[in-house]
Amino acid sequence: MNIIEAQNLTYKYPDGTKALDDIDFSVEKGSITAIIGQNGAGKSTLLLHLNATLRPANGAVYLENKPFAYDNKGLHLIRRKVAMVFQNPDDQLLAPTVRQDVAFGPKNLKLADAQIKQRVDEALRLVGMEAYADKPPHFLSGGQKKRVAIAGVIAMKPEIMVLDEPTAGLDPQGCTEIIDILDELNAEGKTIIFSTHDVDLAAKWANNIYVLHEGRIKRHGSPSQIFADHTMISETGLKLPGFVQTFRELKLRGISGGESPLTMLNFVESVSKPFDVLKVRCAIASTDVYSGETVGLVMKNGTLCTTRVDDDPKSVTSVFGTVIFEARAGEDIVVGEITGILSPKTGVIHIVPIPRVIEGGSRAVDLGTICRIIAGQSPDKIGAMGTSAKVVVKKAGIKCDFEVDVIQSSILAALRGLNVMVFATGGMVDRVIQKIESNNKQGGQHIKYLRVS
Amino acid sequence: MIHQTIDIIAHTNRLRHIDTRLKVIFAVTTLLITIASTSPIPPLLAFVIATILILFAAKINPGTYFFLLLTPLFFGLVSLLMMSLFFGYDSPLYSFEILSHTFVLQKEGINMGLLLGTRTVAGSACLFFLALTTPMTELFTGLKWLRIPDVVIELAMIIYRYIFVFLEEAQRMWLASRMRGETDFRTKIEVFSMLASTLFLRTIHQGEKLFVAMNSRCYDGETNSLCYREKNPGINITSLFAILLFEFAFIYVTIKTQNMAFI
Repeated sequence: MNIIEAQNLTYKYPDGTKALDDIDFSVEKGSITAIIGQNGAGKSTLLLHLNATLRPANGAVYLENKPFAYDNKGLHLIRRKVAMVFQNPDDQLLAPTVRQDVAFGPKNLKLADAQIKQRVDEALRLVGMEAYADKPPHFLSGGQKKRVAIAGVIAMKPEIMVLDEPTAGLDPQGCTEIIDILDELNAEGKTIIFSTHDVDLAAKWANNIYVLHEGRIKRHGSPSQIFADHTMISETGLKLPGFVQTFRELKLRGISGGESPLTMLNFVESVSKPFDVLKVRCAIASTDVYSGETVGLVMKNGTLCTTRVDDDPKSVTSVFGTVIFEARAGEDIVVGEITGILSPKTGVIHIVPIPRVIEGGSRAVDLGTICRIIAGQSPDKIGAMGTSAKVVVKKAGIKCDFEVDVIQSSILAALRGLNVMVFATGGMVDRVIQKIESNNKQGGQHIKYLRVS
Repeated sequence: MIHQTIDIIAHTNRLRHIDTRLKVIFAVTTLLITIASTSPIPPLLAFVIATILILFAAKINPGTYFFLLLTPLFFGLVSLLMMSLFFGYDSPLYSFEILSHTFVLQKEGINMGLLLGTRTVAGSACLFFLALTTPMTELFTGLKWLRIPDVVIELAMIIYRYIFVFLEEAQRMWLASRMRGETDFRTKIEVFSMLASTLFLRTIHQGEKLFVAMNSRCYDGETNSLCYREKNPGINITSLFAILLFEFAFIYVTIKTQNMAFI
């Protein structure tokens, strides 16, 4: 079902120039939609139509199939359901303290004081800013201000979150934190619409992409459809995501082939396939090797290494190859004519569900149990997704390997034979399982996963 | 930036978590009594007490405090000088001549000057006590408790919030102008006027953005949306009583020292 939709939307500036020209735009409930385009393409103007800040000159916007009503009552309804987060948090944070700012929205909804308090606390905890509740915004960093701005709209419990350049001006960690918060909200069923210049983010995170160019929709579709069209991307002044560019160069040199990859995972698979067919691998030499020597191949700490055949080969590995150039211990070598099954044993992903903030969050978890689970499985890598999972991991004093791109990193690690434990908050558990299953369907190698309770 | 340090001090000093209402009652009544006194003794007393509270209870850096005091001290000294030279007519103490003009120091004038000077400094000290120990954010709730109209408080809140946004903006613009080089005095004045007008235009822009942002969060023109705070705890009766006792004692001293002069 389309939760929000624009048809033949046209917008003119007061001087008559068309900022938006005949836009058809629709977003499915619960999806993540990215709008990409150059500066001045009309991204912000389009977003401002979605919460009725701007009124179209022609065409209409529909919320749940009903056209927008621009009277007071209608506006109130639209803005309660469609929340807007501006690019510059200083434009949005207007109260002298963080708590008062987050309470501004609920207060306008005329909620009772007890309810306001509950929503404010919940929103601040969700974005991890409860420690700053009584600080004024000018004491906060850019990333923290952004999180408060998001808390301010979360407290209104909207169904759709519209974000203008959510990651602009933030450092990499700040970016990841914001995307992580939004991902968690999306897992809870909120629809997310955002504009961005960051094609890598759009490629890996969005379900749907609209390319806006000079006020018109140039193209829309899934990330793979959009980034397969290289000419359109360069015509609209955008660039391809990093790994798509790398893939393209490899393909042009005949090293890789097939469809354009969308994630690091797809990229790794598309590049490693030719190596499988040719029975060639790169590995680290454990000992000095000479050209033409037959060596065994094993996975050590997730990296492919050689072993000497002389010392009782059968028990160590069943994969053998011939060294092509001589090398010293520790150097990278190429091993050809590989016999045996090349693909290493995949690791297992253990998923530990952690209650959401609303369900008590980190306080509802027994840290002793968490430590026992980790001790029992002794995973090679640990990941945490979502606010309360991260808090739990921090409280238990566990070193976290993946906090960014957790699902993809975990799958990549499991493919290298490592056992991974992922702490996932609430609805994110299903998301991890979904991703692993869809990867199992597409890719050759099967990854096992277990739900730990 | 002096106002930024005051803001930071207000958020970090030792008296930050004392009930704002108590601090407001103390500062405002002491200030009023100081102004009403007719002798320099109560203002001096008030100054000493406020200074002790600022330096020893709130543990504020003496350097910062005395730097802030320089301005009222300057005004106090100027009024002492002016009053002693030009006020009163029948009680000459001393006279001197500069450029064939006779100046007469009058006893009445010196007394009036001392009163004005001590009032200025003591009044400022009372207000510094409030400014240095109470963050603006807390003060707003104090104002609400004093039944100041919501419109006034909300405006003050938004003004407070955006002072810092524009301060940063002004700093950035000033830096940008400096980086492209300022030469003589004339150019400096031109650049300053340009910066001022640009900043003014930006405030108008910011106002529009603020309006859009408020509307986006369902603002319907009704006031009171910003004044959210968690339930006010009851005022501490013992502390309130202690403060009132002090103020009554202070009033008593003021009445006893009525018209008492130094000279």
